Amino acid sequence: MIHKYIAALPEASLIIGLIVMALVNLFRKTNTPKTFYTLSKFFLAFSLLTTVLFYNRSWLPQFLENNPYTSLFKIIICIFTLTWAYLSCKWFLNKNYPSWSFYSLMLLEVLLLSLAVSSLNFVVLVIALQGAFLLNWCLIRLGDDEEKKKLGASRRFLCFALLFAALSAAGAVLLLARAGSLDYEAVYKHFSHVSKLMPVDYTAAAMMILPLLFMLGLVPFHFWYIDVIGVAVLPVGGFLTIVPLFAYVACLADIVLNAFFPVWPVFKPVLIVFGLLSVGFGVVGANSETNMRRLFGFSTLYHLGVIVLSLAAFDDNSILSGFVYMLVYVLAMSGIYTSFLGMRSKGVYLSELESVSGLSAVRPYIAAGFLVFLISLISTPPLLGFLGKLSVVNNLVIQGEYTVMLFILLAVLMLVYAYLNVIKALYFDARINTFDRVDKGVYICLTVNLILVLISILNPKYLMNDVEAMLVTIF
Amino acid sequence: MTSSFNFVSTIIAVPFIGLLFALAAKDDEKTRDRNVFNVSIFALITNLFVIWRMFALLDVSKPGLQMVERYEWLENPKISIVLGMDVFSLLLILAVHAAVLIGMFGARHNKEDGKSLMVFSLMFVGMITGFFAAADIFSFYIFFEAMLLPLFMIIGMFGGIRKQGVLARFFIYNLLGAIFLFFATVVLYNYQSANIALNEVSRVDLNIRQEIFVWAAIFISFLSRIPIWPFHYWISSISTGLRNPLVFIITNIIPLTGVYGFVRFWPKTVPGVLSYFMIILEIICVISMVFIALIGLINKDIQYKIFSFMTVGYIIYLLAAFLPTDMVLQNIGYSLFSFLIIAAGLEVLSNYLEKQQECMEISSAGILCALPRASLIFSFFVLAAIGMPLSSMFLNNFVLVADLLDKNVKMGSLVVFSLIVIAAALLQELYRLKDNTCVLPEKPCAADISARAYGVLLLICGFLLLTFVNPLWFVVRGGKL
Repeated sequence: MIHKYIAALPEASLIIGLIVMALVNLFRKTNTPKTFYTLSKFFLAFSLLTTVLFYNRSWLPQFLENNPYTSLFKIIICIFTLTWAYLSCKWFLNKNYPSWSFYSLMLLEVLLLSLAVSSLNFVVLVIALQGAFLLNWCLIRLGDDEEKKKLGASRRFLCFALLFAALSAAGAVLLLARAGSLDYEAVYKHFSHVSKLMPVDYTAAAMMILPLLFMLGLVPFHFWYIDVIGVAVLPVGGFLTIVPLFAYVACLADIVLNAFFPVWPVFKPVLIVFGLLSVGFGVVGANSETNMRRLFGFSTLYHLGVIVLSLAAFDDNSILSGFVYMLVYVLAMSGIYTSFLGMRSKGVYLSELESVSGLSAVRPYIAAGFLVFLISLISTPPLLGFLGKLSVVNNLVIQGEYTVMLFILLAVLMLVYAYLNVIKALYFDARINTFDRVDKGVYICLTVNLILVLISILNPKYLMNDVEAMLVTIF
Repeated sequence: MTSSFNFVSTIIAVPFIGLLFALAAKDDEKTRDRNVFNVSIFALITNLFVIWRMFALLDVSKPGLQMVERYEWLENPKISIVLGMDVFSLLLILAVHAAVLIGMFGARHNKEDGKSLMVFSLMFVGMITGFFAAADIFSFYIFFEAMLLPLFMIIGMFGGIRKQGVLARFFIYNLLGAIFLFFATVVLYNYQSANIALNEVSRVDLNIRQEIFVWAAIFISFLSRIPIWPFHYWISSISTGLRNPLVFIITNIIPLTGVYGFVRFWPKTVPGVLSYFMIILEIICVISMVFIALIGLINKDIQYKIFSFMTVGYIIYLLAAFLPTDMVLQNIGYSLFSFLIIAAGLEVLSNYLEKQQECMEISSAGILCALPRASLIFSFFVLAAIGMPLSSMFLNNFVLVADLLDKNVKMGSLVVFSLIVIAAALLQELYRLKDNTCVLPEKPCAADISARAYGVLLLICGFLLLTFVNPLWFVVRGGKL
């Protein structure tokens, strides 16, 4: 009996972690920001370890399935959460702000995202994914700066999140009515009889796919992400940029391939249009921003656009190229957010371009790290970003999507213009601010990330081969 | 002569290793960037020795690439990085190393953040060495684009460019060229389902539509690096504003990458679809050359004159690369070798003279009268630049111009005309600087070049003089030291 449920250890450790953290918060008076970080670190690390150990064992096979594909995404989610949890602790320590809410919400969100990634059934998917997404509402409200803006943004976020959650739930009900079951397999069988399909079937599929695109923050659903990234505190902004993306993409690929693939040709053009719009809006928006966090928010739109354009065909090449691009992008973005933690003046974290002028003269290592990640984001060789660009462009050429490829490549030139403004501020402009001492932990994380970005490009085939072998298990 | 040692990857790696040491070098007010300077110079000189050894091991009479190294890089898409070397590439690598070394000496006393300048310069040297060593389209593209980052940082931080928009457009414009090359590279790769050697590109059997797109992309990418119309504006607007000799030298090495691209990709039998465009390209090249030479003559800024001299030179090499024969390839290499060293020497000396002029608070006319050492060296470089028999440029440029005249008399005549105009521009400057009618004030800061620098420059002049006799005089044949 026990051996059957041992595969539940990753999720169980996160639940136990949440309970322990709640108890500590209730009964221990002398909690510091580090207390909850230490607890969440322990349980996340245990969850990571058990995910690796039981990578292909499922504890509830009717609803959840663990295979190399789902485990790969869960491992990445755990690793990036662990790293970001460590870095966020620096922020909480510097601000002397209670960290219980952040770490507990983070742990709960990772738990729900893990369940969503493993799900085999739309009920589990909707509950886990929508639950995780709604948790962001609580995360956005953390912190005591820019109260008014934050309140407005969180309200707007909640309205739209609830709307899309309702849409998703309605879609699930429709699917149940039409397919008779909410298992992916049953839905796939139902959609396989294309000749028997009715408009309501397509509507149900759209109602399941659209909320995922909304969560990803693709244009035309991008408003929430830019809105939130501008007002949320740095740990929350970083978490929302780095972690959930993997889960959303994993779920999107999973439901498209295992449930809606027969009708995917109908939806593919829509995804391509959304992707192209995201690329276009992203580069235009990034050029109009002077706030670095919003600037990178818009640039995220560009990168998301590239990811979905690459994924659109949903074959083995698309999945691999989309995944490689996403991994490289998230690595670079986590480096960017780590650098943000090193840009502090008189206790205030800087985000305006003007305020970081001349950073390279005082904090050359932070500026150099930032430069490397920026260049990686524009996919210039010899940095790791090039690997992402190569995978995506090669995939688009294989698909014969020359126009899309040219659009992506030319749009990056506009994005580069925005990035050059950041480099100009960091390196070429005169300093106008004093900069606070940077925490050692920031330097450590930056170094590890830099080594990954710089060294992985020298010999990526070992990493790539294993990743490819794990990704194909989705088919 | 074969060797088990990976020479090609070594000469790419040495500047990067030097870069790491330069980053780690501790410099303060006392040392004033001396450590980082010494480390950088040491890295480049070490590489010069490796290059010298490679010359000894290369079989000059053997066509094609030697010392080929292959690295399996990616499985999906399957890409192997192939590096190789021939005399032409090695000559260019040597010339770039020598030019950057001269530039480093010239920029040594500039009051700037020397560490960053040296670090990015080493990065640039490493990238461009890789570019010349690339033997397949992917590695060629990687280095073609990768060198833009150090270039941008060097110009941005040390170029003294007042309008940052110009700099951003310069970078984006170069990146656009690189993107076109990337497009061509990926299309070619997928067409062949394999990475293609550089000399095989023209033999890929594409259909008409693909041929037009791929070759147009390759054309634009290389032309974007060479200051010819309509691509001349950004390069000239950047180059003429630079006041740091090392930055100027590095920036003006960039057009060489475009010329080299054409030399490597350009087939001796022009694909049918391209032959119509060739005449247009040649006309544009010639008009740009005459135009830039005339501006060089009119313009009073010595920096612009050197820029014009370099541009005219590059366009001649480009036109020569289009000649339907492989015979001129060695001539282009030998000539380019001296050309880069002469241009670097001219730039460093003109920058030095400019500083002396600022110190003496006079116009630069006649300044060489007070600086006999500088006068000798500067005169040598100017005379070598205008084509006097003082370097390998003399004989090899003669061969190139003769071949161009043989191909098309009108085009050849305009090339000769441009050469005369640019020679007049440089002689005009030399005459002005040596004008002995002016009176020079006695200022404590005014000083001729130091004995050590004089010695080094004399050595360079001697080196160039020997290349006139034999461009590869320094090579010990047979691989024995």
